[in-house]
Amino acid sequence: MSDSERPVTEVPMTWLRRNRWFLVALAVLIPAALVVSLIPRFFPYLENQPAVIDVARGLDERYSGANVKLTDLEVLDGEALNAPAGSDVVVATFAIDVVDPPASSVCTVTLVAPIDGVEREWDEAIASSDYEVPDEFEKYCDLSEARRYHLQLVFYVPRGEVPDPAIRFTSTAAFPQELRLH
Amino acid sequence: MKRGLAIVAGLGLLAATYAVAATTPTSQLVEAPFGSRGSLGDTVSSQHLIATVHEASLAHEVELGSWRGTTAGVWFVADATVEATLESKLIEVDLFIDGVQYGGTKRGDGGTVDEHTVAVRFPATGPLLIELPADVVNFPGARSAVLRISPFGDDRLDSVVEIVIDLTTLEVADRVELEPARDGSR
Repeated sequence: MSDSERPVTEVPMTWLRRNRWFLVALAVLIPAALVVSLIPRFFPYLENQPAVIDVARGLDERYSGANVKLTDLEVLDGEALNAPAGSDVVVATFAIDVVDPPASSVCTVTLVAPIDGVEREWDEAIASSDYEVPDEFEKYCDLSEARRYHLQLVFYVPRGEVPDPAIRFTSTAAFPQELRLH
Repeated sequence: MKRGLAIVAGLGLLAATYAVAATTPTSQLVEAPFGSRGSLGDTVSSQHLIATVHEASLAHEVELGSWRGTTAGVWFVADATVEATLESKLIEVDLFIDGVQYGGTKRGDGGTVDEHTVAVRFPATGPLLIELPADVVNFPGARSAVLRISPFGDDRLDSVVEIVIDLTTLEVADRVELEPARDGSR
């Protein structure tokens, strides 16, 4: 008996086989719908997360139209300097060369350090101690005009808990990028 | 038979619509902050703050440094220590009674803790002052008032410290003398 004479037996289609194209469409459309639902909020949120640029001490980094360099970062004994009770004094010194000033920017400098494995942050000191910033240094960060200057800022940190601080340097004109100067 | 079923199904759907509309949470509830709760004397931590409310009382008049606070109502007076956990924060206090919010006074001449910025490991200690209606202890919610201590500004969906206080058990003084807020713990 030749092949053409052999009776053809009909194989019943399974449910999966019958619906395969619908299932393929679902497999594509469900992830696509998830991605589309994330577009209005989640992706902009990701884009606005800080992008940290690590810079070693003594190195220049071009940021927000300026060359920024951390020249010195010292932790001083707070007790010897009559700093507020329970604090040490951190003195950060910068060389800043504003080359291409942004149209508008606010520069913020804070001190960061981990305590118990979590990064903490301190603002510039408001309280006073015996440490005084020498006259040759500027006391405020300013990137609004082209000029070269040296900046010195003072921070108070909890005594003995911040042996190895770093500086977080941000400019609204460069958001969300920020410098982490070590 | 079919018409009866349709009527019943229609009424059922209407009832379901009403139930959904009636039970939909308000935006105030959906966006409510996450409160870490405690009682007087507890040290309570939120994402941003660590706070201890040592004691609380009511007073008809307060004296804070050179400022003398009079009121047609009554002062809620608390002594608290607050510090930041991650970064410096200006703080805000509010007392909630029956869902009504009473904010910390701004009349305290800078002497209250909520007019200070607190930093990591640098606590501030001092008074919290909130002006309340004179008959507040008779309010139904007076037994479970909630003192919220939060970073200044919008606290929707944020982490806050909440202290539950029974106002009816608090001592009521004619006049209390308070020290302005200072750096450090109690």
